[in-house]
Amino acid sequence: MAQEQAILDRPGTLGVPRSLSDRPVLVRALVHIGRFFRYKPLGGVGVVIIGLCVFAAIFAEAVDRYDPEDIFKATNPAYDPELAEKALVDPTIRLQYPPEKFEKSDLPIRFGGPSSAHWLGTDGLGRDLYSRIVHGSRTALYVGLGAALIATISGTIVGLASAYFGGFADFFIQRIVDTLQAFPPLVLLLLFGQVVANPTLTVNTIALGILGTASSARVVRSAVLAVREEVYVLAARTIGASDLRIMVRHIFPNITAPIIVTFTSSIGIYILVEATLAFLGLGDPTRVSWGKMVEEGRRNGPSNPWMAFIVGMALTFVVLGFNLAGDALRDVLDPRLRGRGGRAGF
Amino acid sequence: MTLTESASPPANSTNREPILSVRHLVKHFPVRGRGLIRRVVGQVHAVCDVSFDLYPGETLGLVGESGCGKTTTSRVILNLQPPTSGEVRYQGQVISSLSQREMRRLRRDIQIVFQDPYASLDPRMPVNEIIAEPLRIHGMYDSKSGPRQVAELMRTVGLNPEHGNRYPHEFSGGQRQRIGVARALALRPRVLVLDEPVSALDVSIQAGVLNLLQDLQEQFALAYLFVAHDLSVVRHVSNRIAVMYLGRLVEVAETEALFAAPSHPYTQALISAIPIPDPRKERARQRIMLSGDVPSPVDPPSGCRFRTRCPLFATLTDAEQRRCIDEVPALVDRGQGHPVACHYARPVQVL
Repeated sequence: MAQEQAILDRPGTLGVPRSLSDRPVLVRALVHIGRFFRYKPLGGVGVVIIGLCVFAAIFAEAVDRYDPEDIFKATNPAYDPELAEKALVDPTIRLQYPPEKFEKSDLPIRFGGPSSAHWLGTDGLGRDLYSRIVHGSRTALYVGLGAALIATISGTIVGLASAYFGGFADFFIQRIVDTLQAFPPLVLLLLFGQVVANPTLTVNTIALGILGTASSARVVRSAVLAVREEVYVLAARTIGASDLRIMVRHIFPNITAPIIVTFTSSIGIYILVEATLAFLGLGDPTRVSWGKMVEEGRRNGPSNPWMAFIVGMALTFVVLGFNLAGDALRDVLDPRLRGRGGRAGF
Repeated sequence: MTLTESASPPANSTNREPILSVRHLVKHFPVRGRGLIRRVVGQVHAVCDVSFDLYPGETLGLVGESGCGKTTTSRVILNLQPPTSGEVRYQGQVISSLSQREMRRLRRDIQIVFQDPYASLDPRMPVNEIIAEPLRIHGMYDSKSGPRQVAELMRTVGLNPEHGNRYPHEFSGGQRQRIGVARALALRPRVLVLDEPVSALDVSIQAGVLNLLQDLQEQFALAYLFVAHDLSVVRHVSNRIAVMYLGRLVEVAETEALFAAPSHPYTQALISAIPIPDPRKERARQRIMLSGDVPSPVDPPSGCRFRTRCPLFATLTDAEQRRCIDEVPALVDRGQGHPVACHYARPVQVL
C-alpha cells in the first residue's frame, strides 16, 4: 500500500505499476513463450512436434543414417551352393526347385522389418525407411509452409482490401472467392496436374497456395469488417492518415491473431493435401514424399502393413502437431474464434 | 432565420471573426428496406438546419439528449461525413469542398477528442506511437526532435513520459483520455471538438480532465466545441451554450444568460433536471417533467419538433397550438436577449 502510494506521489507521474511493456523485447517474448507452455501444455506438445519436424527437415543429412536413395542388399538366404553346382552339370534340376536356390548374388531387402541396421525397416526397393521419412519431412514442410505462406499473404491482401473498401469491389471479390470454394479442391488440383505435365514441388505448392487464398481471404475479411468500424480507425482518419496507412498501421496489427491462427492451422491441411497428391501419383517424382511412401506400402498388401503404418504415423504426428499448436494459439490470441472448453488469454 | 441573429457572438467579442462557422447544416441518413434491392424507404433527420459560430479561444457547449444529432454535427464538422446540405466554414473555407490534400492540411487545425477513451486508442500501438502518429503523418516528426516532442506532449497532459512504451490497456480511463488529448494536441490545432470527453469517466476523474482542458485552452488559445449531455459540466466549461433537440438548435445563449433565464421550454426542462447538491433545496424545488419519448427522427413532428412533449404547448389555446404545428419556429431573438426557437418563448427562472 505504502509503496503504491509512493508511486502515485512521484512528481509528474500518474501511478501505473511496473509493467511488462517497460522490459526489453526479448524478455517480453520469453515470458510469453513460457506462459504458453505452462498454460497450454497440449499446444506445447504440438510446438515440440513441429520443432522436431523442422529440425529433421533442416538437418536431414545429419539426422538420417543412410542416403535415402541407397539400396540395401543381403545375401540370399535360400542359396544352396550344392544345388547350384549340380545345376551347372544338369540344368534340368532347376525345374525341380524354386529359382532363388540357384541365385548367388545379393538381393535388395524388400519391405524388411525393423532391425538394428534399419530402425524402421526398408521399403519396397530396399531403401532405409527411417532415412526416407526424415528426408520426407523436408518435402512436407516445404509444401506445407510454402502453401500456407502464399495463401496467408495473398489472402490477407485480398481480404483486407476487399473489406476495407467494401462496395462493388468487395462484392466482386467475394463472388470470385465463392466460385473458387465451390469446386472440390482435389478436382482443381488434378486439373492443375494435367495442365502442368511435369508437376514439380514448387508448382504444387503454388497451386495449393492459390487455392488456399480463398479461405484465408474469408477469415481476414470478416476480421477487418469488425475492426474497420472501431473508433480508433476513425481517430486515425481525423489526424489525416491515408487509407494505406490505416490498413497497414491500424487494421493489420489488430487482425494478426486470426491471421496467425489460420496460418498455423492450415499448414497441417496443406501437408495432408500434398501427401494425397503424391499418393495419387501427382507429386514431384524426384522427391521423397510421405504420400508416395504410404502408397508404396499399401501395394505391399494387407498382410504386411508395416511400411504404410509407420509412414502414416509420421504424417499423422506432424499434422497433429500443427493442429494442436494452431488450436492453442487460437485460444491464446483470438478467444472469439474459440470453441467450448477453452480459456480466453492465459 | 437571419444568420447574424442565430450566430450572435459573445458580447465582449462582437468585432471578432468566427474561426468556425456552421451554416444551415443538414445531415440525413438513408433508411434502407430489407431484401435484395435495399430501396431507400426513409431518411433519418439527424441534423436539421443547424447554424452557429465558434470564435477563437471560446468554448461553445453543445447539449442535448442522446440521439439529438450532437455527435453527427461534430462528425460533419470534421468532414468525416459529408453534409446533406449546408456548409461548414473554417476561416472562410468551405471544408466539404476541399481536396484531399487541402483537407489533410486542415486536419492540423481541427482536431477531436472522442467520447470513449477505451475505444478511440489503437490497442496494438504503444502510447508513444499513438501520440507521434499525427506528427509523422504531417511530416513533423524526425528521429531527433520527435521523441522529445512526444515526451513534452505527455508531460503537458499530465502523463509520465517514461510510460510511453506501454499500451493503452495498461492505463486507466482518465489517463487514456489524456492520451487522446495529447494526440489531438500534437498538431497544435486551433479548434478542438470535444465529443463528450468526460462522460465515459468517473466523476472524480472528470474534474481532472476538465481542468486539464481548461488549462490547455489558455495555454494554446484553443477554441472548443464541447459536445455533452451533462449540463452541469457544460456550464462549468462553456462561454456559450447551444441547446439541441431532435436535430435542431432550440436556444443559443451565453452561459450565465441561459441559466439565469432559459426561454425555450426544453432548455427549462433540462436545467430543472440538474440535481442541486443541497437536499433541502433539492426536495423543495419544482422539476419540469417531460412526458413521453423523443419522437423518431425518421418522421419528426411538423412545425416545432418539441411540441409533442412541450409543457407550454399543453397550456396553449387551439389557435396558438396551430402555429406550433404548422410553422417551424425560427431561432431568433424574441426579446429574451438571445436567440430562441419557440413561438411563445418567455424566460422562466428555473434555478
